Amino acid sequence: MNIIAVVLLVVWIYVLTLLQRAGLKYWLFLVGSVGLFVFYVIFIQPYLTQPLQSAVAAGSGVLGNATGLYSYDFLYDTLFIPTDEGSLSLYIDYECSGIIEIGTYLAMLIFFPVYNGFEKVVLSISGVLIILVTNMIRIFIICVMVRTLGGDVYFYAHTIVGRLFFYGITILVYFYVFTKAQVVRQRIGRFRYGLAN
Amino acid sequence: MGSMKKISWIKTGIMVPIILLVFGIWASYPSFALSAPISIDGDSADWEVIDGRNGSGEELSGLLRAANDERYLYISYQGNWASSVNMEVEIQVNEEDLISPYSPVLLNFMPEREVGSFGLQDGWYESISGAAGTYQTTLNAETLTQEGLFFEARIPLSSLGYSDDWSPMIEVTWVSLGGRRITAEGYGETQPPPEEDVDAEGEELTEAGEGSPETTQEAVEGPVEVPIDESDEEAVVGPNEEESSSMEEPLEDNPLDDEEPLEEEEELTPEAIEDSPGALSEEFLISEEALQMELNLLAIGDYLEIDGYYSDWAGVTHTDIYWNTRNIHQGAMVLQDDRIYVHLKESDTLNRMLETGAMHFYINDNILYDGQGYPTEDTSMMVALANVGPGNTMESFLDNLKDPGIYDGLGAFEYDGWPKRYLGEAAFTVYDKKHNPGDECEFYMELSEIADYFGVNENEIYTITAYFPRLGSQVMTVTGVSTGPILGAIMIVGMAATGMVLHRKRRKKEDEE
Repeated sequence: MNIIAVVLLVVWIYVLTLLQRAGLKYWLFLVGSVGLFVFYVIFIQPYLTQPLQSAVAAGSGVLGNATGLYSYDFLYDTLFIPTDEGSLSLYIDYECSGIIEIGTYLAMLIFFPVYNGFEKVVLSISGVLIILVTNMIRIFIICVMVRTLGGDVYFYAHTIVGRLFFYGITILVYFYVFTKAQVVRQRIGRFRYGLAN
Repeated sequence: MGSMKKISWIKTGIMVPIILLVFGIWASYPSFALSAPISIDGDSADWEVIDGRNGSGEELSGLLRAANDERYLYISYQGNWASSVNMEVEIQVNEEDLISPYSPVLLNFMPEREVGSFGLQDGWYESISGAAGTYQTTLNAETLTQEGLFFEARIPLSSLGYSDDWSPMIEVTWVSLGGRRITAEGYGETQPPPEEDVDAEGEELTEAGEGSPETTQEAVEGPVEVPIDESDEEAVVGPNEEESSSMEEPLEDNPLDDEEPLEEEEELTPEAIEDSPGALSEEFLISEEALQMELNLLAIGDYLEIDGYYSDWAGVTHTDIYWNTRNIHQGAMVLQDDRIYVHLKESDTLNRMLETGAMHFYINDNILYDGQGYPTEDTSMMVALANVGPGNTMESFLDNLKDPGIYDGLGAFEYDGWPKRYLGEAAFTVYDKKHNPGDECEFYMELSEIADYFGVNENEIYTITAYFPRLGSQVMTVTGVSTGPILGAIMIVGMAATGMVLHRKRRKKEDEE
């Protein structure tokens, strides 16, 4: 499996160079971002998942401890919410960590042709942190709702309110990074960070 | 002006992520407790600063050393090698002799052990959770036979019944080496004990929390002097009956009242029970002390083990389970390595065996109840603990639990009148014949077995809920909070695609111009 992945990685890089030389920027973006996401999942995500889970659990746990509404068991990446019915333990797993969203964002940003290298670095760091913090706040919202309104609201808190918040912020980030930049540059032309006009 | 504003925004864009990054790192990394710099790796170099004393037995003779910090007792031996190395040490903490099972500690160099390591067992021949031992032998250059031996071991203080957060004075008696007694050297930066606590230490030992070794020692040593109400001993399973029997119990008869008089003659209210030293209260578990305990556990990589010792559950927040607030049981449930781990602790005030015969687990909030109020078989899996192997009837299981002891090697089974499907390991601990302190048990169930029972795939399990009708009405639920990454990815790709289309239009327009 690893050998196949490495071979595919080499092929992917070769295809990217071909697309670059041919000036096919759309296809470079498409093949590049999809490929990068796939290799991110294969090579990086296994090592990043656990620290990210712990970071999200810790960040949400800090908010819980600060408000006294819930506690967190750091060792097991679990948030513990006492409820009228007993307790609800939220286990921060792979899907909760936001690792997919971060990977998708980075994969597309790196191959998005609008920005230069420095801009991409700034947007990568700030975008990842925004996604991370938004995810922590999403979990905090779910926990607060469960604690104050009871365990029965978990489904709505998680499936509707939490996701609406998370994807609301994410859409804003994507709008500013991928869409608005295009609109602005269509109207006023190119601009660069850190350079005087 | 515009460029200044732009630069200001860029600075903000850089500084904010850096600040958040630093905060994130700070928040996600624990501040580890200071501890002795002794690693259990078979290398004697880190022992050089510790003084020792020579001791000799029938075959062995060498330098004996001991050290301790706030969490561990470390011992080492450096001397000649012998064919029979197994030995035992007796331990005294703060001038108090520890009794079985906390002392003696057996150093078991069994042949099937991994080369270079050995096991440590308590007085009941049970492995000590969190303990580790390694050894190295040296060869005679001429005869190529083993002639020298160095071994070192660490023993968690919690497994010796010590639960305070300052370094105790520990004396180690090497029974197999002429009864040589040495005092462990305090190592690392440690916090001195508060004076008033030292004075009241004897009292504290008897007031230790549930499952604490001190309490257990006393329980094992002799029966509780307070007469137990008959109704308690014969408490019958089932919520209604349990409630009626325990409600009749007069407050004065409560053993906790006699052993642990509450300050200012407080009444034995639910709050008082929760706040009593024996209770694993929520306030305690979310305290900094508990957090530090969790971090310590993290530091030593001590994950949950089904061994009948419960110190590894100390960092997990527990749920109160009860039908009436005078008898509050506690439970915890954790998802780890595709297994659901469960810990149950019987109330100290009920004086009956912990009921593990009818525990219900259901998934995805999907549960239906029959006419009698019990979960139906197709929506809930009933689980019971039982002996593993032939004849694993509930009768044989209960017969085995009559005497105080740690019963590991048990199993958690799907249950429908008798144990059926094996779900995972279990352990049960009886501290006292009269079940004061209350019994404890721990077990795990493989997620795959749970999924198989309900006819779903593992990844189709969103929540798992535990309900213990024989203990209380409260349920414990473990769930995840998925971000819904597929939906998110589709949305995100759509946004980026929009940007890309706009980009292509702009390029096309530029080309035309």
